[in-house]
Amino acid sequence: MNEKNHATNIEDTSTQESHNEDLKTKELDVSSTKELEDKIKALKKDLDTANKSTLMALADLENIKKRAEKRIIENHKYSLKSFIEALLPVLDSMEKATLFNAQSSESIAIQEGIKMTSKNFSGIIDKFGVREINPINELFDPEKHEAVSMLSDNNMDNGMVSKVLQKGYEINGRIVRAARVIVTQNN
Amino acid sequence: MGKIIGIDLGTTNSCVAIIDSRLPKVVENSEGARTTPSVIAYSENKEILVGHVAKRQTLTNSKNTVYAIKRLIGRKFSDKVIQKDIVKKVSYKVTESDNGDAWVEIKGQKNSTSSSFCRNIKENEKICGRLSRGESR
Repeated sequence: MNEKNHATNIEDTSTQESHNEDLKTKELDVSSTKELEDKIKALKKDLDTANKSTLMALADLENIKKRAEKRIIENHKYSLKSFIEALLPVLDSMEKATLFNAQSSESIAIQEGIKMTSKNFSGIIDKFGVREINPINELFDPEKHEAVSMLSDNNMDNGMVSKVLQKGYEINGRIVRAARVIVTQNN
Repeated sequence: MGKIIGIDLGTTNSCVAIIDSRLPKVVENSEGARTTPSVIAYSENKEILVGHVAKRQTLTNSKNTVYAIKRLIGRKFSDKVIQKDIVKKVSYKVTESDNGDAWVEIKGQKNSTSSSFCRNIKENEKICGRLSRGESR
């Protein structure tokens, strides 16, 4: 009998122990599962952030490429602008020389030479997309003309260009130098 | 990272720069210039002109062309500097607002110096910055 009770006690103890162990294992399982889930959440968040950064970096790269391409095209189109701007006073001087009232045959010959040189010069810069702005008798347009004076002229409407003091030039649509003009103003 | 744009709103000229590949880069305006005159004009057909275009028509539209507007910001109309140096020397009308500030009158309408004019000049510079980055206006 005693042996039976002892055996039963032992069984109960071991059952209790295994039960306790089960409980502990379950607790461990629950806590480690929770930890793992939290870890997964954090990693997912990090992954999202990394993905967003990558996409933004790719978009930035694309924009930089587009801007670089645009800059290359613009540089090609307007590369001569500064050079032409520096040469314009030479053209202006030649054109003024052609307006001089030459008297002697020698002066007339020189003037003819200057006229031909000026025409040649204008032809060359025209090939590179440089266009003259000579707005005589046109409506004043501040996009291309600069008003330096206003004069009354009853033969013209208000706001018209009555005289061009200095021709303007543009290269491929961009102003190199605005034409300096006198604008009519009738009171 | 958000877009970064820097505007130097000067008394005579303004300049705008953007951050491009982590470096500042000055942006050219529509005429290819790296600075833009701080001039704003209101044309007869209600168009607002800014920069070089506004400067070129100063003579034909002097009363509605505003320049050196920064000199008026933060000052009262009764200020000695305003009365001596500005009111009598500029082509546009400098007037007194309800609280005594120096404002500008254009086409019969009083305008605050900082809000209306500087905003329009800054807006133009921002547009240059956006176009430079390949964005729409």
